[in-house]
Amino acid sequence: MNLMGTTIDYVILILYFVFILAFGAYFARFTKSTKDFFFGGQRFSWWLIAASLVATGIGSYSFLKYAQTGFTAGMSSTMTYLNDWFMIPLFMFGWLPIIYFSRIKSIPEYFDRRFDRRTRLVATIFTLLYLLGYIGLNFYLMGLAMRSLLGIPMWFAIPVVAVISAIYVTTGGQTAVIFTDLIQGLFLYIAGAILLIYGLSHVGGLSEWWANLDVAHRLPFPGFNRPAEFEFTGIFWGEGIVGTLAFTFINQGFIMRYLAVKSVNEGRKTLTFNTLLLMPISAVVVGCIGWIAASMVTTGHINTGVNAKDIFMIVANIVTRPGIFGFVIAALTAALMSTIDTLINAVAAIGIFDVYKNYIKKEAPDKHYLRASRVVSIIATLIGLALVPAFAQSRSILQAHYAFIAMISPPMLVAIFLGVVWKRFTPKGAFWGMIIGGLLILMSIIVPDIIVPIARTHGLTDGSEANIVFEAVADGPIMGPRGAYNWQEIFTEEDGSPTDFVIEYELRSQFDGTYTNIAPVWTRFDTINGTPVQRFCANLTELKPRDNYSFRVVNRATGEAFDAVWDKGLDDDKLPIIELVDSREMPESAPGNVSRFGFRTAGEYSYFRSLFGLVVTLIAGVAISLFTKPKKDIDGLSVGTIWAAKRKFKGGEPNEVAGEKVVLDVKIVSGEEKVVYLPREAMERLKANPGDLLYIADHRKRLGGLRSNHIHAGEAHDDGDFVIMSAKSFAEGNFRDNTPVRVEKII
Amino acid sequence: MHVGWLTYLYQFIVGGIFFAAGVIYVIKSGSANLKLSEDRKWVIALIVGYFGLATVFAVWTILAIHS
Repeated sequence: MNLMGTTIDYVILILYFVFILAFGAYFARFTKSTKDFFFGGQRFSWWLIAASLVATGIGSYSFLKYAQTGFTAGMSSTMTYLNDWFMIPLFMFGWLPIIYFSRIKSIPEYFDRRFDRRTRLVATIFTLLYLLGYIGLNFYLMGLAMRSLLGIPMWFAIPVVAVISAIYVTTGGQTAVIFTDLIQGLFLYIAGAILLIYGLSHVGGLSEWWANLDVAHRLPFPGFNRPAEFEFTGIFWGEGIVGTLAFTFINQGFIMRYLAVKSVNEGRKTLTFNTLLLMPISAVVVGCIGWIAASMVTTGHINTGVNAKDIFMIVANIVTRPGIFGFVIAALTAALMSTIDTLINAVAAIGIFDVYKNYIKKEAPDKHYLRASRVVSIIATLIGLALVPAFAQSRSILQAHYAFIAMISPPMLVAIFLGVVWKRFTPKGAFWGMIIGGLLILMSIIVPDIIVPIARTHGLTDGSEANIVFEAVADGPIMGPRGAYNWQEIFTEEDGSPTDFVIEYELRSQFDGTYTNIAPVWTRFDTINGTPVQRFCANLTELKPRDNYSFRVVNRATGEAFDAVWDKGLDDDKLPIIELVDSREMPESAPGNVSRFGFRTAGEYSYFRSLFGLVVTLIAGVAISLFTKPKKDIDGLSVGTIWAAKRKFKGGEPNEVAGEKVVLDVKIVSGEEKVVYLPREAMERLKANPGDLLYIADHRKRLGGLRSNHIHAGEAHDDGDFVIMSAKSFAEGNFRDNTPVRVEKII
Repeated sequence: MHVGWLTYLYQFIVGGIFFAAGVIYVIKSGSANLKLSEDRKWVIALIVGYFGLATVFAVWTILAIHS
């Protein structure tokens, strides 16, 4: 093992692992039923769930990925985190109340109740395959991160993290997941703050950092329709519209977290706080290293020729100290564990509710299902681990997984979405829409050109583009390609000057035969914070999928030519790697380095594949529904019928008159009655009637609802200022003796 | 017009259409009942959130282009 980092870094990392393991395992005592195991007893406060979602939403690879994007594209790397608000109304008033009040436990269960059993079966298979693959992929990506950052072999890092995660998820269930994610989220934010503060101080403070960024790196959005791998319209449709709907409607782990809040209103608070405040902070935390690195290029702290994929490690090494680095690595591991634990719990939920309880053992005591849930959690972890070698050994398996996600997500999303918003949507429309949509998406993966018409509506070219940008800072060497993915670097005669150089590239396409293109090389002089920068840019177009390429850099004035080659490899982002073998001659003679850049083909316009999938599934689903019969009994399962869901949830007419919260002492009486009796004055302040559903929690708000219970109100009493509760309800709520409780009316 | 404003306008006009359609739909369908104070509060929060985000991004774009 050739380890990087210092001893103190490893001590911090080990202490962190031990702490998380003990902390997570502590919550086993609060898990007494499957409701506790999967939904934390549905008792938690909004802030606890919001904080735990931070860690779930940030994967260990997010730091590496967004540092790279922040470096190449600038602050627009935040866009994927900041464009969710447009679709929030449908979740806040549509999907959230439906799943909460209808007591939906899993996505496939909704398919059953809204459509039919065979649609549920398809959804169960799709979701399980997706989630299990995702567990394996996360283990693999974490292993990659640990290997590149610390030199720890994957065969060691992955099992250690897997065992720790599996232990606390298996024992503590959702409650352990929520509380460990709370801690891990804090760790992530603290690590991000450390990197930000150290980084900013390294480049001379906030104003210097800002001054050393060019305009493109400062803007909140990337280029409108280029480059293909990070362009505005694709992200807007793929992440802002489709991605937000997919994340909020079909992400089992996300939905289970929202089912763990004490009420729908509390879920709305979580949603708002998370979207408007925590996600922007998360975007800064994961992207700031890249933004600082972009500034450090101008100040000369970083070589412009650095590989963007290594930028996190490079900057972390520069700006942090021993111990701090260990803390940052612990935070990265926290990011992984907090994503994995959610996935394991989600797989267990589907394994129990949609497979075991639905097909294998339909009737059994809850204790039996709780034991089975723990077994399924372990199995899910083991399957995830077993998939790691496959991901590690074969890129085709990795790509198959991505392709599978692309194939199933849009059809499932359309089926749920139409099910929620359109009562006329039929079971046959859902089933065949999913099948047809999935097959057409699969076809688009095999024949990518069928996506091109949609991509073209936003100005994207038939083929892909590769932008080569080299720059010389002050009188330094010509290097690249810091701005290779930067839209502003694609300049032409309108804002640059031609050089003597051209890039000739020959394409041998299975579709178009062999032809040669020539791209002129343009140059421009810029000034960043007073530092003169000369930039050279060429824009290669019409590169088609599965083409073979050869490149040549030609000096038109002298006739000299320099061969460049595509090494036919793929980098970690699946980008083909092209290496200009000798960039010293390109385009002026100066000491430099080998430059690498990547490009995406038309088939890689993945965001537009999502849009394509949505459109074809929508057309198929709607068309079939118009000729088939809708399901009759769907009360509570679509937007216009939420009142019915509320009635079922409560077991009577909802009482939505707003009342106050009251704090009372508890008087315990023997028995198992699931009704509490409140003083008359308290009932009036609560605006509650007998039969209303109340939420009773330990009065200490900092517990976030850990000690609480939902109980119906009985008749008011006049015996004193206390709530009368049975011993069983008291125990179920994990209440403590002689501790006041806070009571509020839910519905 | 700087391309930064093109992306800004696209984001908040096209996104705004989706947002407005969503708000109108949940109100029309009765999922958001404006007679209830809680629902009314959340609808207002949604709208304030939209304009708040639009304002933050506008200021950010101005600073990026002009500072």
